[in-house]
Amino acid sequence: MILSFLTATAKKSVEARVARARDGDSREREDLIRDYTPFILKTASTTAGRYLTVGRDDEVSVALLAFDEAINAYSSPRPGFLAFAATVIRRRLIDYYRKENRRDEVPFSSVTPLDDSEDWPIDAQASRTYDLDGWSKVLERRDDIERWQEALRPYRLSLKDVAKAAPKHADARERAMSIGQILATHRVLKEKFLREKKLPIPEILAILPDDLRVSKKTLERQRAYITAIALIVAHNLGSLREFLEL
Amino acid sequence: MSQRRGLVIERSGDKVTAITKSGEFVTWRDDRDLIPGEEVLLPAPRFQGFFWKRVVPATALAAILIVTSFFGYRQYLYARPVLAYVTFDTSGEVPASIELEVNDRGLVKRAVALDDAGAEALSRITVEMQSVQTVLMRLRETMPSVTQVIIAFIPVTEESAPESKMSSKVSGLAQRVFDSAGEATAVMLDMETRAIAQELGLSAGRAALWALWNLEVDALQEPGSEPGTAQTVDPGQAEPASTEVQTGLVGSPDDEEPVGSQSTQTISGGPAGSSSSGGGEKSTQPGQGSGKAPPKGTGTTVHEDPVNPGGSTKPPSPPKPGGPKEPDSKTPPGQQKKADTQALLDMIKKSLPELKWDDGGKLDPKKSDKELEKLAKDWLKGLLEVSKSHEDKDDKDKEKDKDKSKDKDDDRDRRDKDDNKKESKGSTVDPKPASPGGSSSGNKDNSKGPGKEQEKQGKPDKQDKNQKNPKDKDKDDRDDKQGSGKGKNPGSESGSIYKGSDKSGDDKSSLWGSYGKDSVGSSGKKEPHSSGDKEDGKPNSGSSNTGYRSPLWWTSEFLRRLWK
Repeated sequence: MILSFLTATAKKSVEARVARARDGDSREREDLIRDYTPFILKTASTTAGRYLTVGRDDEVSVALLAFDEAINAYSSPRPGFLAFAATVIRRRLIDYYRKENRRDEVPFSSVTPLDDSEDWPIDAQASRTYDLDGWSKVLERRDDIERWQEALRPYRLSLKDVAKAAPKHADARERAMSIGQILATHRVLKEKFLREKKLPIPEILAILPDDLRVSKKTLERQRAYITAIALIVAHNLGSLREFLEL
Repeated sequence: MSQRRGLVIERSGDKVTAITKSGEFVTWRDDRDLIPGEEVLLPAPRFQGFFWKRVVPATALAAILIVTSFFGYRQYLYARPVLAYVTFDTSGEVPASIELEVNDRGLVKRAVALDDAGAEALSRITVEMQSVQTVLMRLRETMPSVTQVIIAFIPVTEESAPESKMSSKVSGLAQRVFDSAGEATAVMLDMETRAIAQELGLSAGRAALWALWNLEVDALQEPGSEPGTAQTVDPGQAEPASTEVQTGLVGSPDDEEPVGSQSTQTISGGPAGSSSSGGGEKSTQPGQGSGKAPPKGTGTTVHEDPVNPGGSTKPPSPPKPGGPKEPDSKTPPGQQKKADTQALLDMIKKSLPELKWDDGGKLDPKKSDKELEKLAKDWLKGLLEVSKSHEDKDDKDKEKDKDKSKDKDDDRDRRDKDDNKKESKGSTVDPKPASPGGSSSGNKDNSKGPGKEQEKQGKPDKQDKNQKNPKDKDKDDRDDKQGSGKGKNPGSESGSIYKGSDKSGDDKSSLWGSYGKDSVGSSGKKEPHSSGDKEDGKPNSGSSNTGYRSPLWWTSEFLRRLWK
């Protein structure tokens, strides 16, 4: 009987259990917390830098609360809840330490609160704790990024390849982004692009307006970058389009 | 540094990649717990990338290139071959002698001070990898009291080749050195002269200085002077001429002042004589003559400079720069016959190789340099031989002294008496100490100077000469003059020059002044042609037998002590 229970539990993905718990299944929530208490303690101990004991250290309570928050915040159907939960636990603990100001060993860069101010240096940004909407936005972007990566794969491209092939000059980059948008919004070219999994360079050159006129060589050199931009638009990755203003 | 907002799209280890709103991808290392989809603030990657990817490497590369090129070029300059040696010699109160190694870029690779004054001068300035003109100028500035400077240029390459074949680099460098010489005397010597001078502990320029002096004394014997007028010139009087000679090597005819020939020409050219004597009376005494030794029987009282090996290369009659403007004194008239004097002068002219004079009566600079170089070399050779030969003689004398010290008191008294007699005899013959020009026919025995003709003829014996007929005698006298000229012994004087003992203020005397102190018996070399010769009618024989010391002996003795 126990074996059958374990087998049944294993068959359920954590994301599905999280979705049920988020939908109001309190038993599933308690089961998730109990089942993942070792994970919660390990993540908290790693963040605190010391061994934590249930019932004695406050960090354990903070970590359990963070895990519960992660269940509520994880709205994505895509895998990755545990990584997300670990991130939420770490950041909550950091916030706890910052508030309590009891732990000197916590890196200053980690306890510095992150806000939207651009005056903060990059390495001074603290853990960013979001509310449910914030976490939802982060998760949405994360999902879009994953889908973007999946869309690039048939074109034999990765985000690293795109990053390497990105034009260095802002003008060239802006021009490439415009060409990608034109490609993704052109019905015929978009279909051919998605079907053949390659950039229809001659057709693109034929439809480009004069202000975006580039050479074939330039298009070939910027092929990866134009493909990535076109896929964002073509697959309608909303959070990325919003961020990139495409 | 402006910051931008970026969206984390990938995390791999500690490397985080984000995309900015402008579509730029940025990758950096970050240990924070960032997850894809988060917005972060990014530093301005364009500036960062430009700075770290362009400015820093370019600056580092430029710095490396500059540093390596600087040191590399410096090493390259040090590795350049030595093109020439330039010696800087001064006289007067600060007698300094310095030798500079100059590479083909005209930069001084190394400077060697040959005496204390030179070392002190070098300690005040930086010479390494400085242009030779600058170094020479700074050396002049460090010694403002110096009145006489001689700068010798000694090309290393093709030292034996004629000047026409001299490479353009060498000639160009020589020209620059000579241009920077200013009022100093600039001469060109060769490596052989330098090697000999080096062996004697002198600089080649110092050797040339002696040769210059010799040339100057020669200038006193001008054929234009009227026979019958004796002219005695001491070095002090000849000092202005010295300057003229220095500039006269490349000088102008305006500087020339022909000196009339004298029926009796008494030239006290000895440096010591210049320092110790002030007039022509002294110049008539042996040891002060710097001129040519007269042939026997002429009765002409011409004191030849024993120190001047260049007597063999004395220039002929044309007026030379550097001749004395006014004779200091005159020998008593009628002392010599005009005809004899004229014959003597003619003989001297014939015995000397001709300097090349141009039509304007000027010394051809090139030829004069050549002659000067030859004079210096001959002088040094003679000096070297004499110094070596006398070293052996000195050793023998020391052994004899040891034996004598073991004798009884009576023998010692007797020997002392004998010595006193010898000394008194020597002083009678040579009351005048110290002329470096004391070499004359009296050196027939003593003079080891390898005169050119003497070298060719195997140094004829004095006794044989005395037994020859008058024609042969005259010839022998000429040979003797040349030989004795070769036997001139300025080595000790040059050593004394380094000491700078004479501060009489007379440049000439300061040049050779200390020589007089050291070369007390040097005039004895002139003794056969001097009044001493007239007294007993016999020339003094070797110094070892009579106690009389020739100038060459004193010179070599001085050198020997100096070296020890």
